[in-house]
Amino acid sequence: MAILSRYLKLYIVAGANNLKSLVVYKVDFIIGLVSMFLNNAMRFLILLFIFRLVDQIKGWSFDQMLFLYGFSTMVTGLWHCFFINVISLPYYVRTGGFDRFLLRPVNLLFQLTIDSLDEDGWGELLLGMILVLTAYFRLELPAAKLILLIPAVLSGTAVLIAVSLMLSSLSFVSVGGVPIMGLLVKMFEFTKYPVDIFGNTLKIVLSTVIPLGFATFYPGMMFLTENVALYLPLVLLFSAGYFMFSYFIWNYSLKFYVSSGS
Amino acid sequence: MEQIELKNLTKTYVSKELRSFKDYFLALLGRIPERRLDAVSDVSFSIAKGEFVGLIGRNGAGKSTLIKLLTGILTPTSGEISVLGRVPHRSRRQNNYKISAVFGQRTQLKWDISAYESFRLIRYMYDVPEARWRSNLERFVRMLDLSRLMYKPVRTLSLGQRMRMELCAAFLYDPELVFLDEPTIGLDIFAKEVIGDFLLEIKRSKETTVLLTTHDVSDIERLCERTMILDGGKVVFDGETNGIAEILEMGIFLEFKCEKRETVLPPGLAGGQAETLPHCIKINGVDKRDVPRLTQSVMGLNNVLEIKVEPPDFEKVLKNFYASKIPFGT
Amino acid sequence: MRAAFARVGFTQNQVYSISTYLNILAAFLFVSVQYYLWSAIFEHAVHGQYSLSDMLQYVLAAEVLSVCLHSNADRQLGQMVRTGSLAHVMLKPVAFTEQIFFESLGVNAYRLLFICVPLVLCSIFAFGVEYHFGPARLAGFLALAGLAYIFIYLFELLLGLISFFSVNTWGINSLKMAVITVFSGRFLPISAYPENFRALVDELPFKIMYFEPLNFLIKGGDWAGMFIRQCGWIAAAFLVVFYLQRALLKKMVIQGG
Repeated sequence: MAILSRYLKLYIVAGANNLKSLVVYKVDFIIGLVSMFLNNAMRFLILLFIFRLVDQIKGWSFDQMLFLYGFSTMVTGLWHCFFINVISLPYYVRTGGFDRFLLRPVNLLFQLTIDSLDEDGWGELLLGMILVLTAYFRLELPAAKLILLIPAVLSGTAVLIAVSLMLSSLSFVSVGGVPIMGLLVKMFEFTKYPVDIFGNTLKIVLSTVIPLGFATFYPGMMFLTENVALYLPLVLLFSAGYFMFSYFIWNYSLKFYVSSGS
Repeated sequence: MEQIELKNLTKTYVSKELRSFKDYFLALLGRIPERRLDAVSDVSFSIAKGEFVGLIGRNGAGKSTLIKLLTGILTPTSGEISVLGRVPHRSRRQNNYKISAVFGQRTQLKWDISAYESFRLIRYMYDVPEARWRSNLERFVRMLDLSRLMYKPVRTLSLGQRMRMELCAAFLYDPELVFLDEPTIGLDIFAKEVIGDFLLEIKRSKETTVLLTTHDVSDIERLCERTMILDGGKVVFDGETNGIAEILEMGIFLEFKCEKRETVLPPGLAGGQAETLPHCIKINGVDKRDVPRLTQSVMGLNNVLEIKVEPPDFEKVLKNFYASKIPFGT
Repeated sequence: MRAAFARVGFTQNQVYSISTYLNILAAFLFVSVQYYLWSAIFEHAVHGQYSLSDMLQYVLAAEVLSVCLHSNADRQLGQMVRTGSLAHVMLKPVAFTEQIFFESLGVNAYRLLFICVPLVLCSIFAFGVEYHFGPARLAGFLALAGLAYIFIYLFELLLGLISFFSVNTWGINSLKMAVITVFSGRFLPISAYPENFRALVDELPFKIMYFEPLNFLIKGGDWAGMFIRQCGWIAAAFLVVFYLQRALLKKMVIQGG
């Protein structure tokens, strides 16, 4: 486990550096903190406003939607905290900055993720936790089940990581890099709502081809239904497998990059 | 075993011009013609531990491709390559612990915070024991005069200061092999001197192998006992730095300023070797041993006011070489 | 010369490059999510001024605006501040901001033609969005959208100038997102906000950016009044930017290099 502790140490040092990079600009940092809070609070408020207009959406009550919204915010928030730099890969490839990673004795994906940490993610994660806990108790779900949140969120995040990783790997293969950032963020909108409001075809797509359903909805179902025995193993197996698949794609694309130059 | 060994190394780039979506589609159908270019072509050489080797070549000669192959960033198309006893693109991460690279245009330091923070990160990245890291840091800071600058944000440093930081970072973990890619580009004489002194001191005290790519010949003359010239992906010269001029037989350049407008040339000069201008005689390609005799002859035939004696100019040598494109064996 | 900048902005984007297609796809996906969401919401009684059909038009039109109404002056300026390549430009600030304006006109013209048109066509094809506005309303909408363009440009310029003081751009970016999310009506018509909050939002100028043009397009209203008020806000913004630029020239933060 010496490797693990080394990476952990690296992570902390790099994270500290990133934080220092922000704090150095005091005015901006304060503006950023305030805005971060505003941003996240407002996203929640909008949801609230929507639900002032209506009692339920396709059979889902406000509290259930709130739970799912909060859960998905936690998952995207967690992804945001640790993995968001992956979508900047086209930039690194274009400027030759990625070669710098190749020169270091550290795992490439790891280097990519720590090179720049986005502090917005923490606010998102926190907001998600608040929403989830609020909805959880309003729905009067058993407290014992709370422990399941950990595997649920982790596997959901794994799926998001996998999707973003595969899209990102395109940068290794295509000529100028592919601007996936906007696309990815907009795709994540899908994750905030129950998959079955999207009509049948889209529902199938979201469960298989681009399995964003497995990022939030299906893990969330562990809590919204009694059927834990079904959803828990399903979600865990899928996310583990999918993540490994995406890592394989990443390595494969990397080989292509390394043999074709920039 | 040598630090670096290359045998018949070739790297071919295949390129297609893909600009619009239609092109991607056509490419799928195989309808876009491929262009093959040997960036590195059948290159063989070896470098021993502790050598300082200069690498010169025009832009596009294949220098950066060669360096990328040596660092494992690129995989070769054919041929054998061994760096620090391993194949670079297969053992990249292991080799990386002992390799370092400085690119003149880009920095590995984090922009907004002090260089010190980046140095600390390097320590963890390369698993350097604290004591050694600290002693190296203190030593380099002294040698490169960085004490006042180390805690300032990197973006506030001038180019020369930043490059000194880069060098400090590059050697901080005692790499065995260092690639310097145009480290002195855009620097003033003083910065170059400090850096040159630093590298000479490193050369003296540790047995670091250095490959220096540069357009600045004074760097090479000062630091590298061996030089390779790369052109069109091939190594066209590989030998002692001061041997280049001799091989090209450029010889010494003499210029005489004379009192009379009409000048008289001494006999025995080859056609085209000398040039007569009003009040001036220029003689090229003079062998070292002939200088006194020739000078005496000219002075005997003319009233000479000034004499200029110039040793073969490295830049002129290169220019000559590129112009003549004589293929050299190693 | 100004036309030259616009031309540069337009031709920078290669016609139908992969990036364009991705942009269309991203926008379309976003519209789809909202389409389904609102359809599901409206299956039950909704208290508010907007019907489902209204809401769908709002969503689609808002997405169109978001694609081609931003000049991103804040990002351009911010990047120059970060890399310190601003020194020579600040000597002629007026010309530079003009350059940004006209270049962005070109860029947005491109996006309007090659992203928004396919987007609208795809959406109508996929979801059958109906519209109830005639040419007169459309013309009024375009005028208001034009004013919105200018206001957004000034707003982003202001943010870009502020980044001179804060030097980094992370915070400013967050602020911009926060403001647009809440106060501009980008995601939800402001008429749906609860009364007391709505009163606050009405006082602020940011609703010019999305809500006012969109609301006029779908619901009509007092066009002349809106137009005049918007011109007033734009004039105010212009003054703020102008004086900020002047103050900045006097106190420049020059980064190394």
